[in-house]
This record gives sequence, structure tokens and C-alpha cells, in this order.
Amino acid sequence: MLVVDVENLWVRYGQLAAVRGISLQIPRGEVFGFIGPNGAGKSSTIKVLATLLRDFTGKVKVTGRDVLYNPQAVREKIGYVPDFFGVYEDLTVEEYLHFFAAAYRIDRSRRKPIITDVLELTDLSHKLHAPVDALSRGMKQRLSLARVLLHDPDLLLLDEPASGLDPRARIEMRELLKALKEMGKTILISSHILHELSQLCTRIGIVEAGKMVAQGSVTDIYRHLGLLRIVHVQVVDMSAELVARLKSVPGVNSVEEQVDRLAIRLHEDQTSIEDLHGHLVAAGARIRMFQPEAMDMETAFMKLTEGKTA
Amino acid sequence: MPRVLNQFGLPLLAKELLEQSARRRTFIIRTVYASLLFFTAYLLFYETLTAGITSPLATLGKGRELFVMLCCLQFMGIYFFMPAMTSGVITHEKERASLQLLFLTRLGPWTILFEKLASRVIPMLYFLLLSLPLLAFSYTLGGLTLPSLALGVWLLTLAVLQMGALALCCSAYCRTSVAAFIATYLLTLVMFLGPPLGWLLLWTITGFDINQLASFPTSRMELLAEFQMPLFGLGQFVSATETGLTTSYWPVAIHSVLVLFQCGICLILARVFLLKRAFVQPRNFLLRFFQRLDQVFARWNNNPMTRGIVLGGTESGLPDTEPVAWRETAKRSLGQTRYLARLFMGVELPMTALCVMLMFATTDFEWSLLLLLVVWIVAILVISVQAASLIAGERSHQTLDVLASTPLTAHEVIRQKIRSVWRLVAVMAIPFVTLFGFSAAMRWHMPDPRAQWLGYHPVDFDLAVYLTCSLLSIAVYLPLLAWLSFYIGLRMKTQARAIATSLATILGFCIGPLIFVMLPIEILFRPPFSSPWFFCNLLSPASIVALNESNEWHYYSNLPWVAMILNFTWYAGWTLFFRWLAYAQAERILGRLECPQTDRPGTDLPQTKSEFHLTSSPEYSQT
Repeated sequence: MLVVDVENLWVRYGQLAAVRGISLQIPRGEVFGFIGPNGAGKSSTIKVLATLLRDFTGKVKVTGRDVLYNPQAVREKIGYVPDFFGVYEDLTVEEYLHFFAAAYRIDRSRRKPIITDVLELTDLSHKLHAPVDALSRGMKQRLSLARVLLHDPDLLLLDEPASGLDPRARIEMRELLKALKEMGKTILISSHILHELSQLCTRIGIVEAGKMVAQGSVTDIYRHLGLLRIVHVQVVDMSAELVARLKSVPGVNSVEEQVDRLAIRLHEDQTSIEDLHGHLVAAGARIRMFQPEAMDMETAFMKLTEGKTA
Repeated sequence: MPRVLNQFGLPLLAKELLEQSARRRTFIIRTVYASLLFFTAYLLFYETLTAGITSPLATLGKGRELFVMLCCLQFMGIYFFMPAMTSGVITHEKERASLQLLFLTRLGPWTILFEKLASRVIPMLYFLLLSLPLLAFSYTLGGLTLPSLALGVWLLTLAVLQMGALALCCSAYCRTSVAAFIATYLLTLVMFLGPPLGWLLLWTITGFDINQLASFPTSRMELLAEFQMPLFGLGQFVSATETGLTTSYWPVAIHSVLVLFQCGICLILARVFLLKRAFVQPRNFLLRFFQRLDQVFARWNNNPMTRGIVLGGTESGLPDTEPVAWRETAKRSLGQTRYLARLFMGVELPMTALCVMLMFATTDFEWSLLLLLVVWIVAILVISVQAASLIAGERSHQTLDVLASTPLTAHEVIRQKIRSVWRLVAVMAIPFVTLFGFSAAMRWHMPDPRAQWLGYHPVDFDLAVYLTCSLLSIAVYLPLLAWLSFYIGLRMKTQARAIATSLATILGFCIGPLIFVMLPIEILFRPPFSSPWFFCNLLSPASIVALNESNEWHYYSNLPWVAMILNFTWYAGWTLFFRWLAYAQAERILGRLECPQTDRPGTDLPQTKSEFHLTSSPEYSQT
């Protein structure tokens, strides 16, 4: 079942078309990463899904409900984290979550266990009585996630949830999102941190100037772009013969001899990483390190986009 | 001009002037100011030059009167516009986090302050220059001497500096533009009305009546009597004109010294606050003050006698079914019952004390009009700021989108948001009732002292009319204020703009019809008392309040009940209209998709625990 179904979405701000005919479908349980430069139309698309934009054309459905005709029903099915975190400075964490639990009309008798659960999940239990204003930015973002989980939504809309976070907070946020992914949550997430999205998302969509430039799984996109996987190898007995044998393996684009390692550029569609390892073993190499580099999303992004804005 | 200023090493002033010239608002304000000035001046001049004048020669020498009117208008313009223009001058930098960048430049604190002040004084002086054609016209009619002209220009310039320095000081102290805006107007009120209230207190305690000093033979005593409002330039100017402008320069000289001294103090304080309070976090002063009081009371309460017994518990708890109303009434300074009770005591006790003092001080009950004016100003400020901030504050704090993405309908949000304002309205209504009660009690036994010297015969004081009109005015006008301000707050992007626009709209609502409708009618048609034309006064909500206080129902053909029914029906209609507008347009203004009838809230919410698969799933609690 499709949780998000967007067809030919156009969003205009006066004369400016921020989104130009974006279409995307997200089935249940998928984590969809929305990538694009500033002003590409990511936040506008997410706002349409969050029922917070009126002036758009196209068909937009969330859990089968048209946002135009059933915005109220859609609001009950989504959890929206905006790209900024405004705080109610006069509330504590507990009051903040109770406030939104009441706003989502969760029965009072059931609020406490739910709040305990979401705080545990977001590792904020110890901050129950702390003022929201006093939390660090990372904690505030985790609290935001706790807020949107209160009513157990079908779809999480996360607009730049990791922006402005320090490395530790970013890792914590990534782990939290992974946990939600494992729970089977459907997530639409926009981010600039491309490397992290590639690790987290089942599919990604790259938008530029309001248009979807590419869409699919990370591997699909790399394959589409013909990008090479770099594998770093350290062997005890490095020799010119070994390098020559590696170069002859089908799919190996190049083998670069570095100070302490070999950097092998590989077309994965011709030879898999596992097969490359097999070739090395067959060549008699005593392997000290075999490290395939994470897919280079930055390269993909730069290749697909030209830095245009809507 | 900015290029020239840059060459003189005044980059901040140049930047400010450039910014102002790039804003559409600057030109709108300038046009509004000029329109008001010229239109009002035209009507007043017309009245002065035509009333009872049979020969063109009789207009000669009228220049002085016209000049006085012109200066009075300019004083009003300065008192209303200058604080609004200047109060955000430093706070804007704090809000945009650009003040620290200024500190990193070679500009010193004094340079920053003077350039900022100059950036607001110069446009205000432009406003004053707008009246040059009118001044030239007055001058041609004669009667205006050069010293008089110089006196007017000097006092106006002083008023500009005075209001500018005060607003600059507030701006340097406060963290937000809203706080600076409110603080400037409140301090202005205290600055002008504080001394007369001080004299009143002195009289009550010691029996020393300053008004009697004016009849003493020595000029020094007269001088003292002049200084009931020593910092009020308009008062000094009017007083000087009554004595022929040039009779004695002493009051003007003392006023000038006092104002310059005040400017100096304000600038020194601004210098201190500029650095000390450059990086303070935005805080709710009222809430902090009340919380300090809580601590003090709790300390006092912990004694062997009372043993910490609390009569009225706090109402914070946790929200039940109306979270927005809960937050507004349990977590906000002007929402909590306990704090509202303190606000009530803070307004009611001085009000009652003043009324009692004034009852013994004078048989003239015109003081009630002055007191009523003060109470109305406070009520307008408090209610308007609170109502305008309800939605605009959410926007400023970037919390509106999150609230708008919840299943709460816009109707529910508004209904719950406005609840705190009704509490405030109820609290603010009580000082009004007190004042009306004292005023009615005094009038009940006293004749109208103005009947003899005004030369008309007002209707007898009718207690029922007075009390009905007074009570209706608070029953209708306070909700009108709340809904009008709320609607404006709903439309505005920032809290500061919402508050400023609300207050400007209220002022325009009260003064606009008098200037643009009543004044032309009076001047062009000269209707007699009891003419139906005077019913046009009702277009300003302030008219009926003033006429009720001064018992001048003859303006409404001695038909007070008809006037009241017309007036309050009209304004109740406006109240309902703004309420309807707020509800009808809320979804659209909040940027949300509107709910069709079929899309009822709550229909899709999971109702049973089993539907919350996430919360009940084992992974959820294990993670």
C-alpha cells in the first residue's frame, strides 16, 4: 500500500514555481530520502504533505487520503518535524509532550505510558522535568521526534532533522532513525548530509529547481550514473604481479598504488565486492585490510545537479 | 545623503537611512503623517479664518493662533510616532544577532548610540519640516513673532530628542522590540502623568495645594505651579502661548534644562545597557517578576503562624482536553489566575486610593475623565498586546507550523487561545467599575461645575444613563479590542508588527472619524447643539465615553438612550464581525488546508490501545 502518492505536484509562490511537477510514491515501511540544494523545493513538498500549503496543484495522497479534501484525516496520520525547532519556552519536556498528546486527542489515561515509551526511545527520560528551552539542539530534535511519535503516525515527515547538529548528536539522530526504520515506520526525510542518507534510506529522490532529477535506490542511482565503487586493500606481500592480476579482473577500472594500500576502482555491476575479495585470495594475497568505501553520494549529487534553484 | 555620511565616517547612520529608504513602510508612514497633518491643519485653519470673520482684514494677526495649532499637532505627532520609530533601533540588531558584529567594528558604543539616535531623529525632523508650507502661511497672516517661532521650534526639537533618547534607552535595555515598544510608551505615560499624581499625593498627605501658588504675588511661586507636568513639552508650549509666548522665559528654560538632563540620563543608561544587556536571552519580565514574588511569599508563608498553608493552589498541572487553553491560562504570566489576581491588585488598589484622594481633593469631577483616560490606555495596551501576540507570538517563536500540523482545527485553536484574553478582560474591567462607581457617587450629589462658565445647560445628571453607558462601554469595547487585536495578530508576520498595527488601528479607529468626519462637519456646516449631525460622533468609539463622562448628552439631542443603543449596537456588530473574520479566515491565514464538512476532526484517530502498534510493540520499549 502506498503511504505517499504524489503526482505532478506544482507549488507556486506568486510568479515563482518552487515545485515543478514532482511525482513520487512511497510504500509502507520505506525510508525515502529527499536530497537537493537549498531552494530546490524539498520543504515545499513536505509542507504540502503536512497540509500546511494551500496553493498547489497535482494529486497528493497520504495513506490513500487526498490532502486537499481530507486534510484533517491526513493530519492524524502524519508526524511533521519542521526544519526549525521553535520552543514553548514556558514548558518542561513532560508538559510539552502532554500538550501535544492532548492536541492529538490521546486519552489522558494513556498519555503517561506513551510519553514514557517515546522518551525512552529518544533517550530523554532523564530530562522529563527539564525546561524545553534548556535542552541542547540535539536533544530538542530528539524531543521533536518524540513529539511526532506520540500518536503513532503512519508517516513521518522530517525536514532537515540533522541540520545544525554536532557530530555526536547527528550520530544519535541517525541511530534513532534507524530504530524507527526497523520498526517499520514510513519516513520521508530531507537532508543535506548525503552520506548519512545513503546509509539510512531505502530510496532517494534528488530534486533540483523544483524537479525530480533522479529517483530510486542508492545502488540504482549509482548504476544509472555509472559510478565506481572504491575498495581499499592492504596486503602483506604487495607486488607488481598482484597489481597486474587485479587490473585484469573484469570490472576493475583502475588500481592505484598508494603508500600503504591499493585503491581499486570497481564497476560493481560487472564484479561484486565479494568476487573481488575472492580474486585477491585466489591470487595468493595475504589480506590485512579489505575496505569497500561507502557509496559516494556527494559525487552522485554533484553529477546530477547543476546548482540551479527554482 | 548616505554617500556624504559615509565620507564623514558615519557608516551606521548611512546604513540606517539607506535601509529606511528601501522600506515601503517608511513612505507609507510619511504619507499618513503628512495627510493627517495637512488635513487637520487645513480644517483648523479654515475654522479659525472663517468663524465670525466678516472682513478679510480681520484675518490679519491670526498667524499666532494658526502657529499654535500647528505646533500642537506636531507635538502630538512626535509623542505618537517617535517612540514607535525609535524603540526597535537596538532591539532589531539584537533580534537579528547583528549587534555583536557592530561591536567587532571600530565603532564605539557612544558612536553606535548617537548614529542610531540620529537615524531616527533625522526622519522625525523631516516630518517637522513637512509643516513648513503651513508655517509660511501662518507667518504671512501676521501676529507671529520671531521669538515665538524660535520657541516653538526649540520645544519641538527638544520633544524629538526627549522621546528619542527615552526610546533608545528602552531599546538598549530590552531584548525584544515588543518589550521596548511597550516600555517606551509606559515610561512616557509615567513621565508625563507621574508628577501631577505626585503633587496630588503631596496634597493629600500635607495639605499643600500647588494650584494655589499661582495666585501668590511672587513669580517664583507661579513658576512652581507651572511645573505640575514639567517634562510635558506640549503643556509648556500651551502654557507659554497663553501668557503671550514671550512673557517669561523661565518656565521654558527650566523645562529645557530638565528635558536635556533627562536626555543625558537616558543616553548614559543606554550606554550602560548597550554592553551589559547586549546578549541577554529573551525573558518574560512579568513572569519572572511574579515568580520572584512567589518565592518571597513562599518564604514569608513558611512561619510558625501560617505554616505554609496555600489557599489557592497552582493550576498548572497537565493539559486535559484543551491543550492550547491550558498553556494560555496555566503557563503564561497574564493567564494564570494567581498572577491575574496580582495584576488586579496592582491596578485596583492604586485606583481606589487615587479615587479616594481625589474625592477629598476636589469637588470638580473632571479628574475622572483623566483617570479614565489612563485606565483606558492601560487596558488597551494590556489587552491589545496580549491578544495580538496570541498567534503572532507563535509565528515569531516558530511554533505555529507544528501546532498547525496537529489535528486541532483552526476554530479550536482560536477558541482556546482567546480564553486567556477573556480572563484579562475580566480583570481589567474591575478598575473601570471602581472608577465609574466613585465618579457616579460624586456626581450624584454635585452639580456640573462647568454649566455656569460654559454657557450651556446640560441635562441633569442621570445615574441610570451614566452607569448603563459606562458598563456597556466596557462590555462592548473590551471584547472589541480583543477581537480586533487578535485578528490583526492573526494576519501579521511578527509579534512587534502585530502589536504596533493593533495599537495604530485602535488609535485610528478612535481619532480618524473625529478628524475626517466630525471636524469637517463642524467646520463646514456649523451644526447647532442637538443637531442630528452630532450622531456622526458615534463613528469614533471614544466619543460616547468622553461625552458620558462630561455629561454632554445635548450633543445627541438629549436622547442618550437612542445614542447608546445606536453606538453599542454598531460596535457590538464590529466585535462580532472581527470574531467572524478571525474564525472564517483562520485556516487560510494560518496557511493550512481547510477542512471540508465531510472531513470531521477525530474520525480517523485510533481509539483503542491495540491500534497504537508502535507504543505497544516490544521493540518500542526495548530500543
